[in-house]
Amino acid sequence: MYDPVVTLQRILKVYFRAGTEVSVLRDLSFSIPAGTFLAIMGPSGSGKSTLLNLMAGIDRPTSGVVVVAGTRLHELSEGDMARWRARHIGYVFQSYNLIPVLTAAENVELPLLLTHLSRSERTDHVKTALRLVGLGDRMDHYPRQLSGGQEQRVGLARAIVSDPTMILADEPTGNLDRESAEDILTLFGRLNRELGKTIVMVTHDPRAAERAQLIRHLEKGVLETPP
Amino acid sequence: MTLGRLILRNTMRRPVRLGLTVGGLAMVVLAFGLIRLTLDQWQASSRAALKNRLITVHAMSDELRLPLAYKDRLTVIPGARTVHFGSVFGGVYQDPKQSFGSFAEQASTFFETYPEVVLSDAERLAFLQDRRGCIIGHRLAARFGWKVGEAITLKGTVYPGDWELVVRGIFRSTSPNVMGEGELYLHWAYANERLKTTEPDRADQVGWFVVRAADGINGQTVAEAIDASFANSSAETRTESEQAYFAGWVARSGALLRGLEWMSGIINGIALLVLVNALAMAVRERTREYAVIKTLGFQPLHLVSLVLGESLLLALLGGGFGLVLLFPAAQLYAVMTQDRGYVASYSITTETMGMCLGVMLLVGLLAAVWPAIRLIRMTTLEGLRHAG
Repeated sequence: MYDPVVTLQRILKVYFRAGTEVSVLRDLSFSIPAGTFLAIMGPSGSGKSTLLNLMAGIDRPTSGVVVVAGTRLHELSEGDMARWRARHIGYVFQSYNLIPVLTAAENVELPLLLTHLSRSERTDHVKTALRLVGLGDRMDHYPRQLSGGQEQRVGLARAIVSDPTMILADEPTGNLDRESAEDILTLFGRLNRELGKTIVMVTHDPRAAERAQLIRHLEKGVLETPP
Repeated sequence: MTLGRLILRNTMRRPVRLGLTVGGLAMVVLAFGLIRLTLDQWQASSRAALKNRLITVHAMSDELRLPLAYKDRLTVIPGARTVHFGSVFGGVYQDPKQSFGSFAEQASTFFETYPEVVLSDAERLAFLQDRRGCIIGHRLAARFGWKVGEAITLKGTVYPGDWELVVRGIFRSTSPNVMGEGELYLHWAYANERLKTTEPDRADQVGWFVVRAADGINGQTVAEAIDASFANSSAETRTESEQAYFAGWVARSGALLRGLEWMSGIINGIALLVLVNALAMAVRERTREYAVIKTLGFQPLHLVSLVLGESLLLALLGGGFGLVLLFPAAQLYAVMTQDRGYVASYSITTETMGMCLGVMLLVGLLAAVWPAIRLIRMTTLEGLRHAG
């Protein structure tokens, strides 16, 4: 018995490009148990990122049902979806996507502006998150003053600072050198093991995928059946 | 950290663009402010004019003259307290380009008619006792370096010939928009005396009468009585309060004023374009950042507040900087135009400042509309895919 945090039923996702219909995800159904560290692998164009975006509530399926953290996402309005994301999703981007005019601490604090926490409580949360990713001494640094690995760790701190239900990572090590990538993957492992966070990571790097508990392959919009 | 701080950091992100945008807006506010100042000053004369001072001119045109003999009939109009008269003198000093306002006035009633003139008793007496005497505003004195007691020679245009005058007083005015401090006043009797020999047909005529209505008397009633008494004569009159007279003069300059108003509208349009361009560039460059902010759970309204805040901040910075520049520019403008006779001083009123800042706020609001609509329409996914 397990308690699925993500349930996808008969997902179809179709894009229209230059008048042509392109099916990205085809009749895809699966679920992810809470507390899982899942890696989704697949070649470029296989639909990995689209799948992640559906789970994050930043894209909608053409048909099918998406239930994440007990909420039927496809039924939410844009505004409700944004509010839902703020509570349940921590998103880690491949290219970090930090706001360049904000310091590391300010970038991490950004999602907390949507909560009812006081300024001092926000500061405490930010310090905790940055210490957790090993950047307690880089709080006042701007992104341009950090290495790629450090930027990604700030991105991870921003994803976890509001204690979301799950962390979604889109090629989080894609722009990093081996050592920095290992640091990030180690952090993912700790977050999963020590804090019980559900993590879904999209990657095409087998070495990164190996660090996950589960690996699923996506091929031309269809998930391979696990052996 | 607050969204306000993010707005501030975004605004300051590109210093060169910020400088150019704020500088451009400041220039626009400067131009707008100077036009408003000109319009304000134009209308200030009618606002500052006295209601109980009535001006009687030829009904056909201000350019035509009235017989001096009307004075006696005006004196007996019920409600008329004093009757004063004068004419444009049209004096030129040395060079025709060095023109200024000069008027021939009946000296005995001048000071009672125009209490705005501030002059010492000694200078007042000296002027009244010397038919060749004149009094000048302190700005005119400063312009030519004239001193009390100095003999000056003017070339007359309305009253032809060379005129030797002696400066008997230098006055200030409590209401420079009505009684300008860049003007010269001489005895009408002296000017008329010469005219009797050189051009007798034009003698004993005046450009205007100024009738002060007695206290408590309705000026309009007196004005109607004056015009009625000269109805069907060879020179019918048009009498109105000084305020209405100046307002009419301003209204007759309507095309020019309307042109200036149009110009200020166009200038505001330029400000709008400058700001829309700067904002559109900034929003386009930051599309991905806005999408990231949306991914974090922020609502479209938050993004609108970021853009609107930046737009208003830029507009207010430009407006503030423009106002700071407006003060010295207005002084310079006043110095450059003081010899033209129309405008005595350029004081920036709170109304002008409020209008400049109000217009900039409106420009700031409007400039944010299009970028904000783009952000509202943008889906998070589109924004994240933006290669900016």
